[in-house]
Amino acid sequence: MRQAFNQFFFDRQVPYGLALTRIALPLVTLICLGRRWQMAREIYSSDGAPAPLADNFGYYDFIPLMNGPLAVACFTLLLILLFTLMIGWKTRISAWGVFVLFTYFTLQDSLSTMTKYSVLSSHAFFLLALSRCDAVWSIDRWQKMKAQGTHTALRFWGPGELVEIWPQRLLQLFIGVVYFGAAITKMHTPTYFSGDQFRLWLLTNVNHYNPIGEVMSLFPAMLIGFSYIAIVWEVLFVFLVWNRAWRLPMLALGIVFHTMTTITLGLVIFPLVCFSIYCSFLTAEDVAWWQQVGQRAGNRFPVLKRITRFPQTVSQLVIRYCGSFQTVPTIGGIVALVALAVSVEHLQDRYGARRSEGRYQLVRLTPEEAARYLNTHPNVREQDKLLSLDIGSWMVGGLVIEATRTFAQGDCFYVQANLIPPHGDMYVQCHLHDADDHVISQTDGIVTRDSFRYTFPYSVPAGLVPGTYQVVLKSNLKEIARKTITITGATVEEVAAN
Amino acid sequence: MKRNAVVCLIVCYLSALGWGIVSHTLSFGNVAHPAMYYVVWDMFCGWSGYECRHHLIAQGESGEYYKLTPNPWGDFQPYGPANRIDYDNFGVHSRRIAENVLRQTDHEPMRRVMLVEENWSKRYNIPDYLWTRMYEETKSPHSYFHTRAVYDGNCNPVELRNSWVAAVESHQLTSNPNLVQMRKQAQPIYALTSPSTQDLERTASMPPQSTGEILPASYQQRTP
Repeated sequence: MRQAFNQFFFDRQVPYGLALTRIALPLVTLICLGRRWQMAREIYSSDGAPAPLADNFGYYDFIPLMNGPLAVACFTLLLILLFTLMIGWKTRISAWGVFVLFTYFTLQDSLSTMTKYSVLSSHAFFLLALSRCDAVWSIDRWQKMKAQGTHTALRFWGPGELVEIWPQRLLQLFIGVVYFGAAITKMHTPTYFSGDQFRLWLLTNVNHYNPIGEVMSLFPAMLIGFSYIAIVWEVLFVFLVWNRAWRLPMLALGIVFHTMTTITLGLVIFPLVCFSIYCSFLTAEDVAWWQQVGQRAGNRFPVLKRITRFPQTVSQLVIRYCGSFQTVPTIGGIVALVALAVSVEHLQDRYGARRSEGRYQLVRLTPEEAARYLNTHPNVREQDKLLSLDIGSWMVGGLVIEATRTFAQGDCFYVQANLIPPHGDMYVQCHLHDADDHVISQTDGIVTRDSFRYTFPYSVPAGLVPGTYQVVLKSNLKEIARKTITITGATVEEVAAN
Repeated sequence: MKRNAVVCLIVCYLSALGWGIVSHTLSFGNVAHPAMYYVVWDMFCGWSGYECRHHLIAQGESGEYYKLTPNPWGDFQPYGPANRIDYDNFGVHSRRIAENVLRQTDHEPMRRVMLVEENWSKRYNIPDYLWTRMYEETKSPHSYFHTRAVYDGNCNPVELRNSWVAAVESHQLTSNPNLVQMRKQAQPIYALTSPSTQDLERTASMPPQSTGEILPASYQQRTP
């Protein structure tokens, strides 16, 4: 047991995986935080409207706020440290600086900076700060080799140093625990398994553009399958990712899962953060394999050579421009850059206090507009309680699959009203109207406030005249939806059978 | 020595992650402290059936109404089409946003500031080309407004309310005549005397001075 523990945590390896996480995660974070720089004063400082996370927990004034210029200076320093961490210059100091500043700023803005992906990043930066992620693919390593006179020109695939692997293991365990916890959350949400929660999530417009998600919301039965696959994968990840045979399938499923969250839910940074952490699963064997593949592909297809040499080209650029960073002049440069950033931000005049036309004015509302905003609506319109009216012959996981709207005499089909909570207790009626809008059949039921749907089973009478009909749904005696169906005569086979 | 410190660190770190899982699973202490946000993984904690946006409205001393959002200098949309204030699900941080807008703009003295929720059914988020495939009726989006909080002219809270969804749920319950009737007949009790030592009915019928103890209001009302 002890030996297994030691081998798992204290094996000495070149930390390729951690080095790749060290490169990828700061890059993603730079993209994410870069666009927040110009509003740092507004969202992180006492000169603006910060939104400390601790306030949500009832801990007011939990962490002191910086004033505007100081917040801008520290935020600029954070961006610079992200860059130095990415290239591996003064890696340990950069990582600690990033961890402290990143966690501080995310804690001060729970509205537009702090999300669960920020938490994931904070954990990863903490573990990077504890690690020797500079042992390979870093300026620190290159400068060390140069000092020893062992460096071999400008090579990205330079030899690494053997270090204890425990921070990398903790990062791998961490992402597994995150998935396990996410699965527990889904288990706490019964409507996750019925696809209802997923469907509403696909229709939510608080994340980026997600047109495929909107299309997928039309096929709720399919969502049930995805829901189960996702939760099974999340539970198994932390147990199976260590197994040589299961490692790649687990990671591949993870890549598919997170890519789907981008396509269907509009999440962008979250998947990139997770992919950065996935890099920590990279081993020395993987690196050797990729090198071989790259060489073979480059030799076979010269066009690909430029692509396969891309990492080396980038590293050559980095080493050319950053390899000769000396401590004192570089720190001086960073201080100057921070001072410049504070001046530029001041000149930008975020609040327009020094505009020639004076300070900003508030927009005046007409009495009608004001009345519209200030009216309270406790009653929901009947039609707003309905999400969809689905008609079909098949049900999967309690949801009707709408494959056709043409039914033969004697067929059975379902009419299902999918509802949006809160809808209260509802009296629902389902009528069948003929082409002249005469009611020829009616049935009803009660939907309790906790139900997400009500299903009417319907059997087409053998004597019903073929033609076009309409299924009409009423809620509390008010029509809220109708759908056209076609009834055909019995098929030749059915007639023969009769 | 260094190895022992590292083992200790590994154990502490994994214990913290483990505590997050246990706490979240059993809903025990999972929101006790801001630090719990770092070990609880509730990324799918539920989405409403209604899309929600927030507006800040101010009423000046003259009676005129003003719009405080979007910010006059441009709002920040961090994750998509929604503005920063729209992510204030608990209505906790809007006060600071209002305060900042009032501080940075020219305006008359304000009498009060209101945080208003705008909600619409998510079915209306379905784009038109899919709507026609899914529904035969025409799309008629409708927004429900709800005043979530009222602040005074200095943005101090005067009145805080539940979200619109919670308010509707509450309204649906309280507008049920049977429930209202039953609630009217209910007698809330808060027994201060131990039921094991004294008969409840007897205690209830006793005047407070005869027991030497404090009786709940509901018991006192029932005393002849």
